[in-house]
Formats: sequence, C-alpha cells, structure tokens
Amino acid sequence: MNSTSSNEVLICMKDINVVYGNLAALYDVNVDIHNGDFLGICGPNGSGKTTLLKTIMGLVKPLTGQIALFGEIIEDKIPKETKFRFGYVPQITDIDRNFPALVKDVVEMGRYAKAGIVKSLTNEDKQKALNALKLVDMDHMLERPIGHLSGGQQQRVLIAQALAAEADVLLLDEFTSALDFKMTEEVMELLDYLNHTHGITIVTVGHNIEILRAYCNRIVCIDKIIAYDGTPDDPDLDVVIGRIFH
Amino acid sequence: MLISLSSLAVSVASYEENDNYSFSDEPTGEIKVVTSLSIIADWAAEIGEGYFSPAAVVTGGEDPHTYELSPSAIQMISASDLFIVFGLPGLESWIDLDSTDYSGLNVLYLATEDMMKVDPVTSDKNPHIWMDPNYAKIFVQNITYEVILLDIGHQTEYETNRDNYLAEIDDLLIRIQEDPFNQTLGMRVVVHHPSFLYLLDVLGVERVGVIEEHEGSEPSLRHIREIEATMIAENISIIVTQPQLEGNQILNLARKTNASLAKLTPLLGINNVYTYIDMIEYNVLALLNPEAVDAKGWILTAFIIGMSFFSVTAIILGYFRFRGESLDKLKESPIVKTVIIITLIGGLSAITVIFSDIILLRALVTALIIGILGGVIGVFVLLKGMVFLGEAIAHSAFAGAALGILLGIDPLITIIAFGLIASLGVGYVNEKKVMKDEVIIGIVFTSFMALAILFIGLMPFYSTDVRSILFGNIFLVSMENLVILFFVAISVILIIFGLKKEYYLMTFNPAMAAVIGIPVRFLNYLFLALMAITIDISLKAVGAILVFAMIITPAAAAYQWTFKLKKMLFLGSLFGVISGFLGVTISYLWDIPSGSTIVGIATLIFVVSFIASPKRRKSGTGHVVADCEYCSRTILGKQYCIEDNCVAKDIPHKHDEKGLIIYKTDLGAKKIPSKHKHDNGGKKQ
Repeated sequence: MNSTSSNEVLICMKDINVVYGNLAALYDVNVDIHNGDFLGICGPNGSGKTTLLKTIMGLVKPLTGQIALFGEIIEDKIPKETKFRFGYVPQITDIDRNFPALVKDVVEMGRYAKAGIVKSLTNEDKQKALNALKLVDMDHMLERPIGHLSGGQQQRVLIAQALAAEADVLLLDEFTSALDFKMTEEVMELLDYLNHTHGITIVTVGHNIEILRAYCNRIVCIDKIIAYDGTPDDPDLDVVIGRIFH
Repeated sequence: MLISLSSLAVSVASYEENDNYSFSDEPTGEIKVVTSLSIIADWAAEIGEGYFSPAAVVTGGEDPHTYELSPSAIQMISASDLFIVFGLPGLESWIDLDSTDYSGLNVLYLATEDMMKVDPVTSDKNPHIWMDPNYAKIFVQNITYEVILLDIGHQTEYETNRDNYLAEIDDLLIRIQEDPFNQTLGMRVVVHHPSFLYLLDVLGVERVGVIEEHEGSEPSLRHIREIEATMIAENISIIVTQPQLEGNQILNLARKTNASLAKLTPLLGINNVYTYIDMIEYNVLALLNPEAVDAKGWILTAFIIGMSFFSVTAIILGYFRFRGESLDKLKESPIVKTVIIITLIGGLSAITVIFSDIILLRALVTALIIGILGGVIGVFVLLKGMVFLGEAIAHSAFAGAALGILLGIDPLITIIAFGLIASLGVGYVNEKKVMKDEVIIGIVFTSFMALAILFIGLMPFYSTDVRSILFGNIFLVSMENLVILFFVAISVILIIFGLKKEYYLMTFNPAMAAVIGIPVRFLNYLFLALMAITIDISLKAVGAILVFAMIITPAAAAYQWTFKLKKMLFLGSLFGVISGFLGVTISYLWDIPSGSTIVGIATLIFVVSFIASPKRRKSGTGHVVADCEYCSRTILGKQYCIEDNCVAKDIPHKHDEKGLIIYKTDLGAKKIPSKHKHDNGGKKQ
C-alpha cells in the first residue's frame, strides 16, 4: 500500500493564506506532512483546522501560497491519481437509521471514483473493498444496514470506505465530536494500528486535544496561524493550549 | 372572443377527388372568381354555370383552422377579379386581407358578425352560419349581385342561374322542413361540437347539450358527466358528431347512455358530399340514421374480473416471493390452479379490451413509462432530500403551461423552460449557501404560482387547457406526447443508471464524493435538470398539482421495504407502475379523474408499506438478541439486548469457553474475540 520511503514529505504547504470575504481563515501557514506521520491538528472552533484539511484536498483555494502533494506542485486542479491517494473521512452527522445502504455498499463506494463514471465495480474492486473492511475489523457486519450500527462502528466503516481506494493518507475531520469517549478511544486505537502496521499516514482534526495527545506522534495547534508544531509531550504544547483554548 | 375552428377539421382522404366538385383548381371563364371555402365556390359555380368556374382556396381536404396560404394561392387570390369570403372571426384567419399583397383586390364579405346567433347553450357567437339554407339564399343573391357588377353582359343568364339555384334551395328547405314525413322535428340530441347550431334549428331539432363547448378545447370530465346525467334523465339517444372527430370520450358516452352516433359534416369533401345541397341532405339522412355503438358490456365485465383476479394473484405470489418461500407447494393446490386459470382468462379478455381501445392502450403505456421513470428518479429525490424542490418545479410547470397557452406556443416548451429555471435557480442558490433551501423554495413556489395566475388572468378566457395542465388526464395523452415521453424517459433512465453509483455516493457522503474527484457540482445540476424534465413530461398525465406524487410516493413506499438501493429502485418503479395501471383501469371503468385515482392508489401502497414495513416491525431487523447472558437480559420473560457496543450486536451469537464470540455466516461458523470479559462458559464475570 505504501510505496514512498519513510520520512518523505507527502504534503507540503508553503505560506498558505486562505480568506473568506474579509476574514482570514489561515494566515501564513507552513506545514509539512511526512510519510508515516500520525498527525493531530487541533484548535478551538473557527480556528481554521477544517479549512486546512480542505485546502490540502483542493476543496478550498488558497489566496496565496503553494501546495505540493507527493512531490508535485499543485498548480490548478489536483490530478485524479493524486486524489486517490487521499482517503477522506468526513464528520459523520446522523445517518438515517433506514438509509438503504449495507455496510458493504458503503465500503464499495470508496471504489466508485476509481472505477470511473458509468462503469460498474469489478470483482477486484469488491475484493479490495472487503479487504479494507477486514482491516478495520468490520467484515462480519457486511450485510448490515449502515444506519443500524453504533457511531463507532459507522466511523470504522467510513474509514474502510476511505481505505478502499488504497489511500496512503487518511484525512479525518472531527470524528471525535460525534462519539463518546470510549468509542473515540476505539477508533484512535484502530488508527494507531493502521499507522503502525500498515504505514498509513494519518491526519486527524479535532478539538479534543487530550485524546489527540494520547495517540498522535505529532501535534499541530492552529489558531489562524500555526501556534504549535511538534511532539505531543513537549511542555511548550501545554503553554500553547493554555493560550489558544482559554 | 376567440372562436377557433378545429371542429372544421376535415379528413384528408377525399382531397384527391377534386373532380367531383363543380368548381376547379384555377378560376376560369369570363371573370376570375376565387373563394375562401369550397362551400362558397359551390354557390358561385351554380351562378356562373356556363360562363365562369370559380376556385376555392381551402377545399374540403384541408382544415380551415390550421390552413396556411401557399405562395401560389396568394397569387391566385391577388390575380382574381372577385374574392369571396364569409368574413367571420376565426373562419378565414389564414388570410390577412389588409396586407399589401392584396391592394386593389375586390373582396366580397358575405356575412357580418351581427348575423351570427349567440348559441344559447355555450353563450358564444356561432360562426357556422352557412349551415342554414335560408342564409345560403341570401349569400347566393349577394354573390349574383357582385358577379353582375363585374360582368354586366351576362346579367340575364346569371339571374336565371340564380333563380334556378334558389328554387333548388327552396325545394331543399321544403324537403327537410315541411315534408309530412319529416322525422327530425322535435328530435332532441346532444352535439359534440357547436357546428350544427343553425342546421339543427332549421330542422327543429333541440340541442340538449354541447360536449365541446369551446372549440378546440377538450371537455372536462365533469362536463361530460353532466352531459351523461342529462342524457339519461332526458332520455336522449342521439349524439351528433363528425366522422373525423370520433373519440373515446364520445364512444364511452354513447355506450353508457345507450345512444347512437349521427355523423354530420359542416364542410364539403367528406363521404362523397361535394355540393352544398348534397351536404344538407346528407346531414339530414345521417341524423335520421344514427349508427349504434356496440356496448362491449361483457368484455368490460371480463376485464374487471380478470384484472381483479390478476392483481390478487400477483399480490399473493409477490408476498410469498418476498417472504422467500417456495412457490412449488402453492402450485399443487387445486384452488390456486383454479385461480390461475380464471386469472388467465380474465387477463386475456383484459388484453382484448386494452388492444381494442387505442386510448386505453395509450394510457396504460403512459402509466408504465411514468411509473418506471418516476420510481427511478424518486428514489434519488427522496435520498437526496429534495422533495420540496420537486414540488416547486411542479408548480413552476403550471406557470410555464399558462404562458405557453397565452402565447399560443406548445406549452411543453415553456413548461420545460420554467422547470429548468426553477430547478437550476434553486440549485444555484443552494450551492452558494446564501440561505436555507426551504426559504428559497418557498419564494420560488409562490412566485411561480403568482406568474401562473397572472398569465391565466391575461387570457381572454379561462382555457380548459389550463385546467387540463393543473389536473391532467392520462386518457388525453396523444400519440405525439407518448413518443416524446418514451424517448425522454429512456434517456433519463439511461443517464440515471449510468451515474447510479455516483449519485448513490453523493447521497450518502457528498463530502467524500467531492474529495475523490466525482464532479459533484455538474452531477447535481444534471440531476436537477433530469428531475425537472421528468416532472414536466409527466404533467399531461397526472397534472401539475399531483405530478410530484408519482415521484415521491412510490419511492417512499419502496423505502419502507429494503436496505438495498437496487431493490429500492426496482420496488419504486414497480409501485409506480402498479399505481398507474390500477389508476388507469379504475378511472377507465368508472370514469373518475385519472390523476387523483393514480395518486390515490400510490398513497394506498405507501400506507400499506409504511404499516407493514419490516424496518418498523419490532421483531424485524432490529436487534437480534444474543443467546448470551452478558449481552442480554430478561425483562418480563422476554430477552432484550443490553450491550450496545458489542461487536456482535444484532447477530445471533454465543460465546465459547474462551469467551470468543461464535456466530454463523454464510461460509460457516466464525469466531472473533469479544471486547467484553467473559468467563469460560461465556457467562458474565
């Protein structure tokens, strides 16, 4: 799954400025994300952490600055092949209990873009989706309606969906906010496992700084500017947290 | 007042037999006389016999209402010495006599608007003035006077011809009016069109009702039912119609009231009638010898029985199939065999009826197409949560239809234009996130209704077309509509199925779809456009008010039954088709409005689905309680699941001596570690 060498810079953001109207969402942001990182991006509400994630994925265009993905500078649109290397796990809001999708359908959705428009999934696609589901230990619930799962289980399935496209980098947006502490811990353990055993780079965004500190090997604190970028156990981090969260 | 003349529509069949007319293609002789309609030419030919032969612009073969002047006809008119027209509104609107093409043209206007009677039944002024031979006499004299002015040299001859012809008309009047054997006097009839007001008055025939009150507009179902009631109450047994206008409504009305059809003609060129006098005599004969309509009573009965047995069997078999039970056991039962045989017989007779009545067949095919199309689109509308937007589009279509009728262009064009404006406009506002969807939809909805009311207000009269757009009538779907519907439906369904997985993902997880490079924006607009087109082309069948039910109701019913998209698409279409078929059948048999019947059946299916839904059934696919003391508790003798985070929640499972969860899969038993602590027997610690 991982063809890049360790410590290689996968995502390089240089002097990024993002504005919405007359509001600066990101100011002079410089972040490098390395292969194998388990990165936690934290910050208070409205600090620009989701914007940062969207900027990486090309959903938000920066006013100034440069982004390089997997060693290639992105000029306009992100190439399709590059997009497939990202696995995005959006914030889950309530999934309708009766939504007509089984767990396997949801995971197979991760292969849709790869299969291409109009074409249907091949057996290989389905097998890869199943493998992703095995990775998150949910393959025993293949035929269950997605709406019937608990929040943590749904989150696992969505991670499998992102992994199904054989992504190198998992980007998770605020998944902690919909889950209780125990479920969050379970999902973090899963991410840790994927990071350690399968070498998947993880970028997770959240405002629950404690849980991020417990699992991530790198923390970026953001409040429009990068307030902190370093290891989770540095005492400086406490100072920064004290400043930007209170 | 707009009086159109579609009632004068004439079959093309006899056009080539022009030789039978007493006038020619080109005016010949002493003076060149051209007339607008062939009836006038016939009169002029009688007067000019031996000296000139007139030509008519519109012969019996064409419809004066939709006639278009050819350049050669314009040339013929402008080169004539005398051009004779009735000069009544609507009749000759294809020629603009004020145009410079005709400067210096000698035009004789035979009639004036004052001569038109106000029809006591429809309250419109009636232009079919020539159908009264007494008026014909006046016209003949007018023509003679004008001809003599142009060709004074033959005054005596023209006057002789005129007197001979007037004598013939007088004879005719005596024959049809005063003959002691005259059987028409006192007859009471219902007429299809107002064309025969003058003739029937001359004959002393009383018109009890007019089916098409305003020409060129379809009568409402209510009006037909009123006529039906009147006919039965007053014991009317003759419907006066025209050979080329025979339709299902008239046939059905005749069947129900046991009436016969008298097929009259207001123009020359039909059924070998080539002169005015022949035409009047032909009409009197037709009135005296109306054609009976075969009752079809037994076939209808068989149809009802067949359809009901068919539906019951289908429901029973469908139920067993759905439960996954084998049908083999059922097949052996003698009762089932009998039911199947009756069903086959009934079904066969039903098919006979369907194929013997093109209108019913067309309605059923329409129902089939709209059912499938609505079901497929509806599933995605429902999942994407765009129900109110669809409703707004349906109402924008109403405004579009009103504008189309007002401007006199094909309403379908304006309907689709308005539908696209509404859907893409709301889609754009939604994308920009300026305000909540429901606010903008509310504004669009009401503003389009305001436009519709404005357009209707600007119309010279409240057209029944507007009503038919509002309420629809699946039996009035024309062959042309059906062909459009078919091709549009095929394209929409192909597009939706081609993009099925993209739309599925966009429905479930739009953010993910955008990230992995699916053109979410384009596909969203495309979907809005497809939805608008679906609504717009289905309008004619169920009407603007109800059309959205064909999209949302079957899909909502399908939603109750399954967790699989494919199955939901299938069921949505199936429910749509069933509602359409049953609705059409019921509406056909009992003559109740088709739109509301179809929607009523669809709603019934939804209610039944909602109540019977396995998703709502408590013992259904909810928690399957594990036979495991850790994961379940007994309350009042019943087991309930208490471990919500159990990995094997909802799966019947046990624990082995090591505490591993054991459960069955299709591939056999599987073991996974439990996250909970268990003792050796799987018991709670």
